[in-house]
Amino acid sequence: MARSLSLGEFEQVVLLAILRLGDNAYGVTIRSEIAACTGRDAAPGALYTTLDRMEEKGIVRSWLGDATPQRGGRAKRYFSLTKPGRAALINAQRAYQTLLDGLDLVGGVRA
Amino acid sequence: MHNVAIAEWIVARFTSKKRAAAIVGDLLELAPEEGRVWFWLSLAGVILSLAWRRLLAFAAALCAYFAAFGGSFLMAYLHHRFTIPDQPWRTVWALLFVASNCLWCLLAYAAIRYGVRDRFTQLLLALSPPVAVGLYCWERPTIVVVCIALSIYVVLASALRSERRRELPIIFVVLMVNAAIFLLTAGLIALYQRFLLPAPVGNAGIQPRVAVQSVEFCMLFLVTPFAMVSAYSRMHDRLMRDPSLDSQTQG
Repeated sequence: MARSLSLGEFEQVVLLAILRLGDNAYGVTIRSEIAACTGRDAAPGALYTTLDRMEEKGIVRSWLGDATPQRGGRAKRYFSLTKPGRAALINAQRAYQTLLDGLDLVGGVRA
Repeated sequence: MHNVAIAEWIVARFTSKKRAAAIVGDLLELAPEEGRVWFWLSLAGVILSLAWRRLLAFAAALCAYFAAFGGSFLMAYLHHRFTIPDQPWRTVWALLFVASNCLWCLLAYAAIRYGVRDRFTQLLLALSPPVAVGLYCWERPTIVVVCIALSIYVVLASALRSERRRELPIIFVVLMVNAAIFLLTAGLIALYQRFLLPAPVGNAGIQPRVAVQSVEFCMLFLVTPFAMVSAYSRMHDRLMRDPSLDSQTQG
């Protein structure tokens, strides 16, 4: 991908949740993982539009699983990071880390 | 759950059928814990999130279409000497005028729906101003020549670059759709006028008839832009999408 991908804050949260969930990352689990880790109740509309946008940009890819009766016979749409997506996330996190260096903000005396 | 099927159908208007089914499936999975009210509120939120940009873009496209038509009346009002050329150039001018309005309408839609980084938006941004300036300044040969040269340069630059070749067929097809809808609308308006007023009454006879004028207005200013942006968004989604992304979505 020629153009470097920039990620918003919510996009990074969603990507980290997908990474934590591994093979079981779909709408419901991503939302509950975000809630468990950040205490943030992500609106379903915001989550799905973010996932769609990231798929259009080539940051994540999706595939359909099996249909289950619990879901009215509708398949789950699983997500995983693409290589450019993983690289963009690493870059974004590295930038945060660089900015945090020397600040003692997380767990430091001035936290 | 008949209502859920309807909800899924509505969501599918704004995204693909598979995505819509997965979204509704996710919400159904959580519905036993969260409740029916949560399900429907979340669904409304999802539809709003998926649709707002498209609706706003369509509203902007309508405004641009109005403004482009209104611009000519404003020019005529502010600039009493502003006239359109005589035949045989009058037909060419009229066709370019309709095409220019179409470009402004698409530019407003594309800028909001896909953003200014989108290649098609950038092409429209480069093409719309010289076409419009050339039309309104048709009496000044120097300006017309510069505008024609600029437009030709933009078209050629787009045609010669392999990554930008997809935009020109989209513009061509959308302009054809616009022309076809415009002609169809004119034909339907003529039929409608003949149905309401069988005897030939002329423009003076039609002007007081608000019903005839309202239908004409709605057909011209609502149906034409709607058909245009629908054709454009479908072609954009098909042609401008990176094909490598399609292979990543399995199932």
